[in-house]
Amino acid sequence: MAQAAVSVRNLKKTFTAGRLLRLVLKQPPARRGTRALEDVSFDVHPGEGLAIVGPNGAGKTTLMEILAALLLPTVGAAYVFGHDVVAEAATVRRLGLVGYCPWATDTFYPRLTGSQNLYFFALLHDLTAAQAGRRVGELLDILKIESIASKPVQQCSEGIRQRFALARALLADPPVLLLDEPTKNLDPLFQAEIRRWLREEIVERRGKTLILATHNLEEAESVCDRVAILDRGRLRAIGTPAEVRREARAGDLTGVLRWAAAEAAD
Amino acid sequence: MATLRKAWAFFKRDLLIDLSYKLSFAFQALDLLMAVAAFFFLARIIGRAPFRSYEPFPFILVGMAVNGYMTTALACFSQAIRGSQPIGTLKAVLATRTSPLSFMLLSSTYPFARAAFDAALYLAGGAMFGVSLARANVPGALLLFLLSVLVFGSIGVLSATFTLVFKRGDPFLWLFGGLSWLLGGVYYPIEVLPRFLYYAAQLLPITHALNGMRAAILLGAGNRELLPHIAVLAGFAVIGVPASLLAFHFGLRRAMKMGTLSHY
Repeated sequence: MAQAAVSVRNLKKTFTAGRLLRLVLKQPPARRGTRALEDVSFDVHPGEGLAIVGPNGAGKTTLMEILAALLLPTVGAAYVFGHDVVAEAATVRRLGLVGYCPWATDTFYPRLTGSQNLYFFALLHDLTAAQAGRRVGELLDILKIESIASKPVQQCSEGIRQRFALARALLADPPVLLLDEPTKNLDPLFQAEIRRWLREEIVERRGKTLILATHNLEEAESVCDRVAILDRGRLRAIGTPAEVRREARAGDLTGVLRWAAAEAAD
Repeated sequence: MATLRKAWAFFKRDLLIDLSYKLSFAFQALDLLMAVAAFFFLARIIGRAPFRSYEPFPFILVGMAVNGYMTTALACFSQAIRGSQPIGTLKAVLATRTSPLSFMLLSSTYPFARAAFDAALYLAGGAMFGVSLARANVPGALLLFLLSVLVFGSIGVLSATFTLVFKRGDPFLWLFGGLSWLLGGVYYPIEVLPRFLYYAAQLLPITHALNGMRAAILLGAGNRELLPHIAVLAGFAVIGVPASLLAFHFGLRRAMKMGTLSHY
């Protein structure tokens, strides 16, 4: 069997206050940590799209940040094409295996223009000046932000910044894309267009591995092959939308989320 | 080559941001020249009585130029972290093919270039008021300068580590920034300090940086005379550079473990 593009093994993440702070606040043991992820395991194969679906606070962003080598897990391991994202974080970064689009859109230098921002990040991805210029131009065209790219980012709307964030994740053409709610600020028409582009161009034609964190069930089904239901840090179900619905005995994914919430409460 | 491209990217980013505040950019340079003029006239009150072997104005001028550069070395790494936390770019940069250490070190390209520009302005301003640099021992001054940047840079990296872990209340900046200004002999010779403060001043790297630079630039002291200052600064650098890099490694790991990388 081919190597998984992304492999997650018994991942746990507990956020704790520092020992000194806990001592000062005299926190009782039960309040000493927030469990964000609890024993999460799954594989994503090359060229596959997996949607991580869950309510607020489910642990989606925590999972994405661990895979992007921006956060250390408490226990467990995660691999991108066989490279441990903790022990080999530098290699994962150097090989440019992962493109990460964070949920927050305020992640640009506000006084620089959109294209200046993208050009800067392209150079940090080891692209030459010529490659960076070409790549930025391509992405501005694909994401339809060419006309606004010469404006300072602080003058752009949330939706436009979201498109810049998506472009930034694609700059180095990475084999694995981690997109954290990439369409949440887009208008419905462009949302549909981006979803189609992600599915047809990124996953099907270019064979990229896509992990998409979303609340949006329609988006999960339209872009990805499988969905993983995450609730209060636990993976409640994973499979094709039909398999997950069957497991939850629900008619749609909203029903699946209700079932997952009830499971979590038990 | 890739590192050079990245260094250029950071330089260009900061230059563009700085130029976007056009008036501020121009006024900062003007401010600096006015400070030189003010100290020139202040020095005339003191008269021509030599500070050790120095005239008061050149003494203060070199003190200001060196102190400005060292303050930049002290603060720029911490500012690279602090500045990128509220605007959320820290994680975005760390998600590229740029290591955290490279990010921090390369972020200093513009501040250092700017500080060099400021130092050149100080010296040019000084030349306008008659300070002669004709006797300067340039290689000696450059060596002292490089060692001083290493020492202050390593303290700056410790300061950045503190910012990464504890966010505010950086004791390194306070200790080395504030004390250097007070005890390091920026504006007056440390001989005027009470005895116990004079000895405390000997423990500060800026004292040796300033004494050495003044001797090299203003008196044209030979390398043999500069050796004690070079040795002390090299000692600070040998301990400071690896210690600060190690501290940064552990500080970064802690922030990534606690999930506080972008907190501020």
